[in-house]
Amino acid sequence: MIRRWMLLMLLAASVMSASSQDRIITISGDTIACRILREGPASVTFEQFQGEIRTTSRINRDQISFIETGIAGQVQHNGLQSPGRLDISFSGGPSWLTASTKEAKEQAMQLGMTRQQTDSYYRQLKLGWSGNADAHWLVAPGMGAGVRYRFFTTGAEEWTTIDPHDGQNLWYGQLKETIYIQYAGPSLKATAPLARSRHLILSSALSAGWMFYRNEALAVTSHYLVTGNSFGSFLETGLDYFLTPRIALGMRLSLFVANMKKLDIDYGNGPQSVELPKEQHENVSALDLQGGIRFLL
Amino acid sequence: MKRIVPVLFAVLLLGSCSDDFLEKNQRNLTMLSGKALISTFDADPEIEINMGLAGSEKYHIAYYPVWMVWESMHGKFENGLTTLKFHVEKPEWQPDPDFLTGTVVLDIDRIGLVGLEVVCGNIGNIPGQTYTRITHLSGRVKDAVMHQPTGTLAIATQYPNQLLLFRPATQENFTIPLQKSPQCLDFTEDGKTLLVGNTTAEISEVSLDTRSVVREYPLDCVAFDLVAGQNGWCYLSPQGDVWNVLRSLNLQTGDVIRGGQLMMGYLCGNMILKKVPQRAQIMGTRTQVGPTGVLQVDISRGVPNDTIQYWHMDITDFWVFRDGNRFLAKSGAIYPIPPFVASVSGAVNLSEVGRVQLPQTAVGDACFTAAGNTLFVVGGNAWQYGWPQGEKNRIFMVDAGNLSILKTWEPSFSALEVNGELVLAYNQVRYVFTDSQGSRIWTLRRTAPETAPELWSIEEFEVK
Repeated sequence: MIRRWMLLMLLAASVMSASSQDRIITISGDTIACRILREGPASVTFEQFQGEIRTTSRINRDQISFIETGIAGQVQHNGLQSPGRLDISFSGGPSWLTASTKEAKEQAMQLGMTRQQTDSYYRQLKLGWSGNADAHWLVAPGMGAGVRYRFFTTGAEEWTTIDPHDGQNLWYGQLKETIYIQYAGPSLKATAPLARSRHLILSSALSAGWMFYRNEALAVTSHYLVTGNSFGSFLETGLDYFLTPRIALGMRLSLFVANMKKLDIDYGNGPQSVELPKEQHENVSALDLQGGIRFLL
Repeated sequence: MKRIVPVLFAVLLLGSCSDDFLEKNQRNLTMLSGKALISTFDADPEIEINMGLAGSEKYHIAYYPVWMVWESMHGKFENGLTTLKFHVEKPEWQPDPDFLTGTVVLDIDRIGLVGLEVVCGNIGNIPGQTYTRITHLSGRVKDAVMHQPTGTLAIATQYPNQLLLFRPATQENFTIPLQKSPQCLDFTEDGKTLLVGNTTAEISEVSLDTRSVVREYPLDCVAFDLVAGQNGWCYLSPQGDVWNVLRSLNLQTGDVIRGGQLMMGYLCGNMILKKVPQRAQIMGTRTQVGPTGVLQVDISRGVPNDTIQYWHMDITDFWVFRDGNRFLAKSGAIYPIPPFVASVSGAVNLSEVGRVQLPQTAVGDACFTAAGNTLFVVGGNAWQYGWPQGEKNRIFMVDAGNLSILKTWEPSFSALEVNGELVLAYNQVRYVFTDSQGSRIWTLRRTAPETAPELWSIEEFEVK
């Protein structure tokens, strides 16, 4: 009888053990087989059966490396990908404007610039620098919603002679531009561990918002300011390596897309609005390659 | 943290609306007063700018006319001074203007845009610079003559009354002041004595050796023009507008012989007289009547033959070729000088034996090399004797044989300050002289009549 009861108990224990589908892997490498009862922002509550004894425990999130739940394939990396956390990242790096410069170069050469000068000028202009900052609130495991800010700048300068084709005079001086583009908008982000790695996390983000354009330009002796704004969108993919449960370094590749149909040009006497023909819309789309840091709070 | 992030975004975005960029980069253009004059004589033109305010600032040339090609587009002021060096390249397609003009603008760091007007052209005198080919004269020129064998140029001026003597080959120049006002002159054959007709009824004999008036010859008329006969006599045409006769002055005795009655009706006052080389003849034309006529006078006996040759033609002025067989009329036509026949003619005109095809309307003056194979002609626009020749007078080198134009020169402009303003005055060439070989020419010119001051100068050209 007692043996049967013990068998039953063992069976119950094994069944109960079998029903402990979750595993908590600590940062020290220990594995806790358990059943997760509740996940809070700061800690995870779980129960274990030791024989017939049911114990309930709690572990702080900063002690958890990752959690494997009973749901097939679901791994909450670091235990920190769980909802209720703030994911903030900052990154920066080179950025390439993707618009074609062929027509602009031809126009510049008609004014007197040499091919070498136009190539140099637009080569400088196409390569700029960008910086990103985003903050997402994890609303579901590995998914967050938040806001994104992007800053981009590039510039070019070249000394050249300009021929106005009046047969009388020539201009000489600098052609110089400094472009600043700021973008802000809501963003959605998704993350997932790379294979079963505890440290590498893939992420992707999609954002749509508004872009503000500013071009401080110099044409020989005249300074003028070109401003504009339009709808913009942003798509990013990245790979982060978590050095600690809260801090990761990563690389990101992103595409920023925006076109402007109207510009305001100010020569010092007040801005004048210019509607651009369809074929001359100002394309400020860019490819960003960035390195950055990410914080999970 | 959540509240900080939206605020940060707003500051970053709103910061893009600042207009500091335009305000702090506003540039104004300041034009310097006056004009920078550049002469085409200058082989290495440059413009010196003195702007104390510029200190040691850097600059570049921001705007300039296409004909200026700069040694460097960038420069730096040193204690407010800088020099802009360039050369002139006139665009090939551009028509030939008198001047190339334009505006040069410098973009000076921390100061702004500074502009100046530039003028480039055939300017013979630029204030502060000297060009050896221009010699400025004092006084108003009344007549000039050159003795080719000695290379001596003599110029008679009023205000002041003086003779200006130039010997370009030896760079010897001197002045002989006169008590009387001269209005015509000629050299004796040896080139050592000048016979000067005055505005009063006498002729002065001036020695170039003693550089003084050595004798006065009283006359019964005022000499409008005179010719040294190279035979001890001086022949002069009286001033006035009435029918008159020649006067012959014996330079040894001082006797003045009036022409005979046969001259009356053909000769009148204010006649131009010229000695015919190789012949004992003088020729004349009348400035007060029309047609001005061609008069041929025989002086083989010293005193002129009363019977003169006359052709009823309008030539206005004339210049006799070295061979004594032809003369050039003001129109550019060339006529023969027939042998003198002591009978009054006038029925048959001289036939044209050639013509110098001038771009302008008329000949202003002419001179010949010693060999007579080349002549230099001043082209002008005025038919009338003594009238202004117009702006586009030119000097032409002409082959005396085939009458083709070989070379052309333009008189340079003069930079003058008139009533405080800069004026670029064109010059009218009134006389042209050449040396024996025709290797150099000298033009005696005055500033255009429409400019206030009457300024005379000699401009020298090298014949290459």
